Amino acid sequence: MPRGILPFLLFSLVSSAIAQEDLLKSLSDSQENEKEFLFQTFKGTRVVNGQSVEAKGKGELEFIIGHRFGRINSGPRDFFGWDDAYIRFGLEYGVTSKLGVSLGRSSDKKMYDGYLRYQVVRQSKGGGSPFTITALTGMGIETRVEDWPFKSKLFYSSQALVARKFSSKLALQLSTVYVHANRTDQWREANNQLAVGLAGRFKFTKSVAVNAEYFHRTKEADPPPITSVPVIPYNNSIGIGIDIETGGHVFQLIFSNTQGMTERAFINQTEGDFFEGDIHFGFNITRTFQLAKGK
Amino acid sequence: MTNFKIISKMIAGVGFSFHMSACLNEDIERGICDIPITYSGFIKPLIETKCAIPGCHVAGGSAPGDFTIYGNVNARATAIKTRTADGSMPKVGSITPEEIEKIACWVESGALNN
Repeated sequence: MPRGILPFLLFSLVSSAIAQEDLLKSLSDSQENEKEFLFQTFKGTRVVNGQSVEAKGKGELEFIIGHRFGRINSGPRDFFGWDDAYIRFGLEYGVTSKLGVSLGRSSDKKMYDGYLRYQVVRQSKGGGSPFTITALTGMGIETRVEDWPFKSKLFYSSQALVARKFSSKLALQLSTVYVHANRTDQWREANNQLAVGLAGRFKFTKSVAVNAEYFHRTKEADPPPITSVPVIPYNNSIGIGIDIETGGHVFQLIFSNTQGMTERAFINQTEGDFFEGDIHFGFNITRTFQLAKGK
Repeated sequence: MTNFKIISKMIAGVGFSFHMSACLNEDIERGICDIPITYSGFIKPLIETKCAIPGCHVAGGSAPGDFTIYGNVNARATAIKTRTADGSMPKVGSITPEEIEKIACWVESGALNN
């Protein structure tokens, strides 16, 4: 695939969808009275590490704090990962009920990230779409290595998410995620990566649900020219989360083989082997504020 | 809503421009020692052209040690690293800074017969 073609396609999708919103709205207004949109396919904008199809409502500001500790199997000296934590603060604002904009800062590689989210269509009963489809496009900058040129610090991600809420308890999501990083350790990480993800949510009680997700990378990194060079390959990301809703907050308790919280980190740079016990405990705490009048 | 459409297109346009204008496919910068230096692949050919030349580090030569034999090279590995680094060797011809660094890498990794 030519370099950058997927970001182009997704940007085109987002921009054209935005541009046609008025037209579609006018066409569908009459039908929407008969439709019943389904809410809360997932509880938050994250399934575990990855994005969900959920969009914020118009005028809503979501504040999300993510923590990922070190490996549980690192032993008692690091208190089972406690001493090696990453944190990410993120804000996402619903410009409309379909369009969101987000900014975040992560201590992992001193990273800043931002993205646009556009909910193309929402699942509804009564003749509407059987799926919710959301597109995201974002970019980030890793500032850890100060002497790299600015461009070399940049990475981009584009995503298309398709989800269906099968019942009040069960929802599944298929994700395609493209990540481009301008500078990588090419022996371990491809500059251009396309991953396919599968995620699901099962709601046990009114306030407790279990989520799971898996991302499969489609491209391996180029091996070093001399085979005797020891290279530790990255792994595919696996995550299990427990959503607990308490009043205005959503707590997500997370167990995953990745410690990063941006697409580049958890798609491209997952260090741990889940089945070898390289599991990071973590959590997301989400709080939503209504800043402007909703629709 | 017209303003919203314009702003949305501007945001998408700026993002798209970044994608297209700032995409690189770079590798990280690597040190010479990141790739192992082998005796058979690099050190031996270098020594045979720079050191083990007639009259020098060969049997019957004026310099100590027959460097056509690995054991002699290994025995003097630290001296080879030091004398090439300070420029006192080779006395005939020259070697490049990269070759000097590779000799140092090989010596520091154990001067193996690999």
